[in-house]
Amino acid sequence: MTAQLGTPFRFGIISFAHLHAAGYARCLQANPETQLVAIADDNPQRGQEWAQRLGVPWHPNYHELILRDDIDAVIVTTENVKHTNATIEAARAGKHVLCEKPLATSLADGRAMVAACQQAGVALGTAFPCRYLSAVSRVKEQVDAGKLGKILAIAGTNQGRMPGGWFIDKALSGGGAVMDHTVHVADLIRWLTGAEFADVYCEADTLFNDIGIDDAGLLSFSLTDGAICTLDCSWSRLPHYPTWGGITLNLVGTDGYVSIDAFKQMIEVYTEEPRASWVHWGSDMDYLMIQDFARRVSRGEPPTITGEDGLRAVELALGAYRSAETHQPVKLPLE
Amino acid sequence: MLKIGLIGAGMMGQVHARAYANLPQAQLVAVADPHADKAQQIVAESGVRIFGSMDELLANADVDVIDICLPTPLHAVHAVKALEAGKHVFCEKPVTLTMDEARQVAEAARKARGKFTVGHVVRFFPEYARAHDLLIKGEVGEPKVIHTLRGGGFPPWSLNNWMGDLNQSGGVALDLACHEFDWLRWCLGEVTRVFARGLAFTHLAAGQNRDHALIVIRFASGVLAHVEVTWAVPRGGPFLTSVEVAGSRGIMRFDNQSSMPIRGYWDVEGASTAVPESPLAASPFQVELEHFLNCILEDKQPLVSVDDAVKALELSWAALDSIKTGQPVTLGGAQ
Repeated sequence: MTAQLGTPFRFGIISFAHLHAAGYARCLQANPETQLVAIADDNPQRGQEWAQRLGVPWHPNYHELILRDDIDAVIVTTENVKHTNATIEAARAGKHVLCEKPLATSLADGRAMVAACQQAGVALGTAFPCRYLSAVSRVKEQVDAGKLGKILAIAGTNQGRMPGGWFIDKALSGGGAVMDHTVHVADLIRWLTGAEFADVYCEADTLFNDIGIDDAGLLSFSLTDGAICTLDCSWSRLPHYPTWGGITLNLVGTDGYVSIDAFKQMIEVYTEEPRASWVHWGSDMDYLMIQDFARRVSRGEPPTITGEDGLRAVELALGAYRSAETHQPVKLPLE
Repeated sequence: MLKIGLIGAGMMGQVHARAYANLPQAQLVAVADPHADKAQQIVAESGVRIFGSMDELLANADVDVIDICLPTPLHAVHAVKALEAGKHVFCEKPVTLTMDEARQVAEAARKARGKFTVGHVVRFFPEYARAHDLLIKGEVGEPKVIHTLRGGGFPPWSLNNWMGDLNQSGGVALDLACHEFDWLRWCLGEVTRVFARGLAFTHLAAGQNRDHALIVIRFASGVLAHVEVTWAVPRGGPFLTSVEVAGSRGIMRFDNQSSMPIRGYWDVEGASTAVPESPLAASPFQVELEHFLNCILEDKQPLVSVDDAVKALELSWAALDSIKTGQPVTLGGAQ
């Protein structure tokens, strides 16, 4: 199952329901260390279109794809609620799994995924590419070198556009902006501090769009080491905004204050139509994430970002929803 | 021409004295400060009389306006006395230290012949004033999620480090966040709920000369706001202010660090020293004082009423209480 040195690590992609699948596919094809072998999509039109565009075979369902003996791993980019079954079945078929975030929409689902991969002896990674943003990984080096002293506070934002489609159907997404945009920064904060979440308070609402799901949220949470954090996870960027959104972190340490605007490496473009756009030229986080996953897993090592990491981030979002209903802080981990 | 008696010749008193020197409506005639050397700094170039206290000043000098630039715990007793003496009173922010004191000052201001205002100078910073006007005009539609940031290094200038004493300054929740709360209320109306985390009780109260707070606010209109206030930037670092308003039709944003029309690199002893500047024809402090003097001369209501100042303080205390208890604080403005 494990790729030999010098041979590419072979992937299948399960579903193009999530737009990130397209980006991941291009990374797999651009990197000589990885190969995209085939894709599966239960939406025939979408699946066939992407198969043609990528020049790989299409399977009408993932059950077929995971039985192929010429793939080592799958990337799961289904609707959020479908991550669980796809991951568990792929694991049982002996395939490593890199699962799109949020890992799952309930703790039970997430735990089942982690257990299934453990049992099958395959790797489970969570797709948190933001750890591979150069600005973030550089600050992580500085934090680890002790330049900030002890981290005392982090104010984060991960604002974006309202994605529409299944993202705003709770039965498929498990939640709106809080589910969609809590987990990236949640993971970065766990990574930067090495601490776990202790409690969370959240104000969430539907403020920007006439939709039946939350599109605005502010989380306030504390860590087991006493650090205090906040996060704006709102879909507050309208279609005319010059870019999709972004990630920012203001970190306060005993020995420093650092502001990260992770996508600031961009060219400002101002034209008649569209009026403005920001073209990012920073390093490709998706490429680096997939390369790291492929290298580690092909060497038989656990992925850098595990299923457990994905689960902890989901738990913050789930706690936030509970708090938003009660207007009370919620202790973590959840019972 | 209005005759001014300045109470307190510390950092802010000196800023105000410089502003009066530029205002044709004002004549600074007397300064009261128990530290004669500080008062001397202000009067070096003019015939201003110096007193050891406000009582002495009121008894011996003929003034129209009392301008209180004292440490926060001294605001209430001086403001009430000056109002009862029939003077117009300008009091630095926050209006008082405690809510009881604030109510006493409000009562005295209601009974007084003279006018009263509080130095919520942010309303007179041109970018905040312009942003307020744009917001009220609906430039970005209805405001939905707001971020504000204010802070820098720990203020080193306060007498006997009263700023470093939580019981005297209230830390960043009172000293800095009252600015944000006043501007936010001016723009967005009343607040329903406040949830805050901060370092006031763990760091500032422990004598560490460091404070930081992350405050989540829910307005009666449903709007969400996040306020970051800090005294945790290392010494010599910049003072940071920024605002982002995400509305139903768009986003507006400003940030003092990216609003520097001058970026100078000066040769200081053989090394390049960067000194970015954003000069203005009149300082916001001068504009603020000019507004108050004109309100007196034209018998108009000052932009910042005593009730505004009391409500800003109420929000500061809500934040401090939330930091202390770990619970959200529901305010009188609740629906």
